[in-house]
Amino acid sequence: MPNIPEFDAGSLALRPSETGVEARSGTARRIGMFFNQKAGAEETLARETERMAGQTQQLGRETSQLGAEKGAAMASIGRAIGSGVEAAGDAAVKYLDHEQISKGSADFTKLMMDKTQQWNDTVKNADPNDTTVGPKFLASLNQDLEDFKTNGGFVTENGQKWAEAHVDALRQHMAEKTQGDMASLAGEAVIVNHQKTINQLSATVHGDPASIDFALAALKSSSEGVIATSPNMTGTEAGKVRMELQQKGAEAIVKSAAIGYIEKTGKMPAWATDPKYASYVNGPELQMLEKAAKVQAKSDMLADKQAKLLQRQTDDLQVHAAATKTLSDNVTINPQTNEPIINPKFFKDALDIARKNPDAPSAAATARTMLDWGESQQNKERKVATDAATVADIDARMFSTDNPITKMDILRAEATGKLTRSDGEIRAKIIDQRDKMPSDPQFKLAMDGAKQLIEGRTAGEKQLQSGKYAAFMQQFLGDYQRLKAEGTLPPNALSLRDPNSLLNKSMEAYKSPMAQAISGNGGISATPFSERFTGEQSSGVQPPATTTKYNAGDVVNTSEGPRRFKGGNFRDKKNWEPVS
Amino acid sequence: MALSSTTFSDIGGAVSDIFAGFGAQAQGALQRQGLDITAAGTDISAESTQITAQSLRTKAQGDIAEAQNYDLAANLAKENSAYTQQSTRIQQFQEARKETQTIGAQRAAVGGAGFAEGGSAFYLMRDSANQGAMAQGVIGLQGAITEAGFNEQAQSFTTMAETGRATAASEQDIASQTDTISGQQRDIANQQRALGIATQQAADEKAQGDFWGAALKGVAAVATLF
Repeated sequence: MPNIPEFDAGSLALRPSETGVEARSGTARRIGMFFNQKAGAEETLARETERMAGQTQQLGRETSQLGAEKGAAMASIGRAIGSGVEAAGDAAVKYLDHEQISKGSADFTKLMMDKTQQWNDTVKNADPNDTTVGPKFLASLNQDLEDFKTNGGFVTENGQKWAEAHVDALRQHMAEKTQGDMASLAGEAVIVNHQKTINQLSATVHGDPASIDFALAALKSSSEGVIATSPNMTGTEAGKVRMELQQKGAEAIVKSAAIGYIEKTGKMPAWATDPKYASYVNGPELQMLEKAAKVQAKSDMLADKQAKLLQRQTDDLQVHAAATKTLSDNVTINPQTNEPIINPKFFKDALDIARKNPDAPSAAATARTMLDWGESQQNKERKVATDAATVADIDARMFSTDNPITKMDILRAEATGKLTRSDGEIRAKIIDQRDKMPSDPQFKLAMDGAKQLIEGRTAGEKQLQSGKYAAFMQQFLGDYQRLKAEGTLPPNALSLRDPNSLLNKSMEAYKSPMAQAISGNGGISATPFSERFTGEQSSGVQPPATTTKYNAGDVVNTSEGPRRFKGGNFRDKKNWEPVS
Repeated sequence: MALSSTTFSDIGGAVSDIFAGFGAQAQGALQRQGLDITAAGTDISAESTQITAQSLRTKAQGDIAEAQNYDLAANLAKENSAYTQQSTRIQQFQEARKETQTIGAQRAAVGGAGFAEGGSAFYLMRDSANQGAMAQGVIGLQGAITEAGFNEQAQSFTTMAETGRATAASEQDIASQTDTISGQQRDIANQQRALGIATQQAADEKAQGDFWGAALKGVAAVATLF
């Protein structure tokens, strides 16, 4: 059988390929990855950029922080420097404050003292009624205060404040002081001036107690007028002065009236207890016035008695004066014979002394002595010799303060024949000179010392030196009075220690031999009185040797002027005080 | 007035004020500089933000490119599906021809051998027909399976492409927003610079005040001396 071959295509099949799909998908993935890589890179860049941005911002913040810190640092430095300057300046200012105030205190004190003294000097001589005195002084003070402030070296504020405060205080003080002083001055002037009014009114009512009401009214009107017209017087001062013038013036007037009444009547005035005057006289004063009334009554009695005594003393003085006048008028001394030439009128005048002074106790005795003396002088036959005891008594009492010798005593001694006419005449002249001399104890002491030096101490010496003391006194007293009248009396005139003193020079020719020997040998002073009580050899006044000679209150003339003994040790100079 | 602690207090105050003035000037200058730098940093940050946006756009571009390739891959998968369909039909045709050839051969053999077409021959031919039909069926089924696989693959790529495009769109949107942020950052930078200028002006004014204060205190210190 034929085998006819046929074409066999075989097992045909389409086989889809994955290659493209896979390639595409792979491409897709790769592309995605690439883009992702790029995006990742961009993200990285973004992150880095962001990081840089963060760092930049951080830099910015830090820069700002730096700025803040720098600013704070500079401000801090500034504050520190400022604080330093302030602290240093403060310390410097405090130092300057202290220095200026320390110096300023002394300057201010001096300024205050100077200004106060200047004001005191000004107000001392100021017219109380001159209203320009205070303002003028304050004007000059202001200039000085301004000078103190501006030229006082006060450059710091505290220093200037201190100066300002002190200047203000001083200005205030001086303003008050000037006003107060001027007011006081005015017040005092008013008081002083018005005191005359008060005194006059007091004197008026003293003499006329019945005019008391008129005097009080006059006092009030007068004081008000004076106060109202005083330009410098302040209200306060016016009140004070009104009180001073009216109250005290009224008191003085009322009391003066009361005293005047008492003096006149010896009784208390009935109106003393009147309520109208009660404010001017208090209880104790009333008691005092009552007592004064009693005393006045007793005083009146004693005054009467004393008046009589005074009359007698006056009469005695008149007798003495009349006797002296009778002697000088009627008795002269013959220079040739040294005998008295007696006017007959002498006897009449002597009798007139007794007749004209009947109440004088010494009138009769004086007249009798004068008559006896005249009679004795008429008896030329009688022999008269000076009695040593008599003349010693006369000389001893020559400068006595208790019972000094008088011319009557001389005449009496001559009348009784115990004193020659010549000795009596010498002592009469001494008495005349003595009565012109000061009566201080020092002179007597000096004369006592001279007497001892001239007459000596022993009886023989006294006999030998008889009459020399009187001659010495006659010479010395004449010289002393002459120099004193000329104003050339040396301060050591009475010194016994100073050999050149008037006293010693005057004594040279009259000293006893013993005293002359001691003086000639330059020995110790022959004076019985010590000159050592004050230790001053140049003293012209010789104090006594003992304290018994000085009592407190004794006044002694010294080379430094009169001094009063205060008591105690007389050798201590402090116990002697000047006497004005 | 005169020399006093007030004088030195004024001098100290003047010195303090002068330093405070210079300090304020320096502080103002540096703070302005710092703010400028900060502004520059902010600008850089804005630049960074822009780069981030650019990065997002790049990603979007990548996503789009990827999507496009996925589209291509999907198309290829679809073509493969079509190829599979055609190939299945071809195979089924070849099986059918093969069956026909087999049966024809059998029939010829039977006929040549003289066998009748019944009996075994029939059975044989019927079996061959069955086998052919089954082969065709299997091929068709296999083809359907493969076709479905390619279709699924295409669908998958399509989905990925769509997703990529959606993602790209989102990224573009985010990039735009990021650009906005960048712009805002630049605004901030500008404000920081303005702030720097204002800060320096304020510092200068303070310094001027301090200098005036120093001058017045100096005058006051001098005035205390008079």
